[in-house]
Amino acid sequence: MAVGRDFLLAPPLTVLARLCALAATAQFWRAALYSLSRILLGFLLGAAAGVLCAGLSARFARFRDLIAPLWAVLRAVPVASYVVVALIWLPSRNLSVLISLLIVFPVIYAEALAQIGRADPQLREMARLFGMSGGKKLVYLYALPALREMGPACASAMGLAWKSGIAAELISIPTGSIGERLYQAKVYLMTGDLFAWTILIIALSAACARLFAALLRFLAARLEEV
Amino acid sequence: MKKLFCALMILVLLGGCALADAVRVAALKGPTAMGMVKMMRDDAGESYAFEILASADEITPRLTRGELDIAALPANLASVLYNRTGGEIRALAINTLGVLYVAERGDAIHSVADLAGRTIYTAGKGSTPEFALDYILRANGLIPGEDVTVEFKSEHSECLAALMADESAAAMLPQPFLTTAMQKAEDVRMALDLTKEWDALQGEGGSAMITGVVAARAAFIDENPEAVARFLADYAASVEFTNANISEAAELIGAYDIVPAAVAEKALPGCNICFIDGAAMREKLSGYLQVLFDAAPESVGGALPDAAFYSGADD
Repeated sequence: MAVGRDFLLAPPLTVLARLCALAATAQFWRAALYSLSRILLGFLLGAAAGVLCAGLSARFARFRDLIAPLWAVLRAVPVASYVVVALIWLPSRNLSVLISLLIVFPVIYAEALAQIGRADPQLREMARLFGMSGGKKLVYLYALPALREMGPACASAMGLAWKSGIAAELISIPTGSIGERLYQAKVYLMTGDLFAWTILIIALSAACARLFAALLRFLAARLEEV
Repeated sequence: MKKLFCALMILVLLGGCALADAVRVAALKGPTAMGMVKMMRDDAGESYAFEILASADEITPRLTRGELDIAALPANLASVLYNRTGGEIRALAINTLGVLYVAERGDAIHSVADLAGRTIYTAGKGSTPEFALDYILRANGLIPGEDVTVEFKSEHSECLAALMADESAAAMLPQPFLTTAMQKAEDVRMALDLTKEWDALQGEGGSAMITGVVAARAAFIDENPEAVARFLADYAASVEFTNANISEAAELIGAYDIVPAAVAEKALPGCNICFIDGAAMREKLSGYLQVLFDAAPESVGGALPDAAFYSGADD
């Protein structure tokens, strides 16, 4: 009988109690910091690489053709495959950085490339006619609209980064990470802890997405003033 | 229509009755199943329904849902289940002592102290491998993380791959996988027998390193005492057979697709398959669980199980 079995599905009060109990320990916050720093780094690197490659692809058709198969593969490979292969060569400590990077890159690349393609052609002609410098063109034609429009794509990429980063940690079990604590909760059938840690992950993911969106808006505002 | 329906229901019930008589036993693909091969051969589907599964993750939910009656489990997992289900799972007997060995590619490691400064690759986080290694290292004065680096992989084959990539490292591998590894890579050598290291630390009359126990649902034990007694007698005979007739047992093991017969023949002596029940089980198992509890209470489910956990140890 599955009724009344705490370890199959923990009741909400138990989960809240466990969350509070865990939040009182230093280990909890250290694990949160461990995973947060690595996943955020992976996201930023992936986004930067995506934007850079999108810029190059827009400028050089050859580069775009070169990248196209790589992008198609990176987009299609499931997270677990990445992790299992990477684990053969790399230690588990910083694996979530790489995995988040690999997952975020194709999403941001596609979105950035689309953004560049959507640059208003009339504005572009005007910029050419008035002899705008390359730097100014970059800022007003491409960077500003991108900062304004790419919010949703970045938010979903951030969510993906967290999902894939935590999945990587769950498979590779680096010491001191959230994934390791999830794994332990699973092995010892501590379902209350499992849900508590999941709540933390959701909270961190949402917070990161909000913060990044705010950052984009802030940068857009600063650029407009310039 | 109603009559047909009734007839069908009766048939289904009768069919269910016939199947329900068979004791549903599950073992893991390794030493636990290797000890059961004679039982499997002799029974041929009459009173037992055997299943060989790949991981304990598959066994746990089915055992707790009542789809299995008896299962071979890691020793600490049996204790965790006892605590989590409020006493619905009990240990019947110890079926495997230590099966862990440290392997290296060379001839440098001859004692635990030689592991200092090296990286040890192992699988089995959250189970016997993690705790046994931790205990043996600390008791020998090496602190994991400082004096030794322990790197956890999710599969034994990954540990072997890591060992092949790093010559100075060591890998903790279980039998029978160790034999498979030594066949795949010629320079892999068995450096340390962790069961012996544990015994050396505990001394006479102390606990032993236990890997697996055979456990059953408490409801099943209470409702079918004769079936349980018969199972234990058959199991004890089967284990004795496997340990005494290595070549014949190896053939059976190959036939049941547990591991290839050639590997089984070399690995069986190192698998430490045993059958310990009753008071001896309680003594050894409680000692082992105590060591685990001292290291990490959640590894045994938060608390040491009480006497009711050790089925058949009432004398």
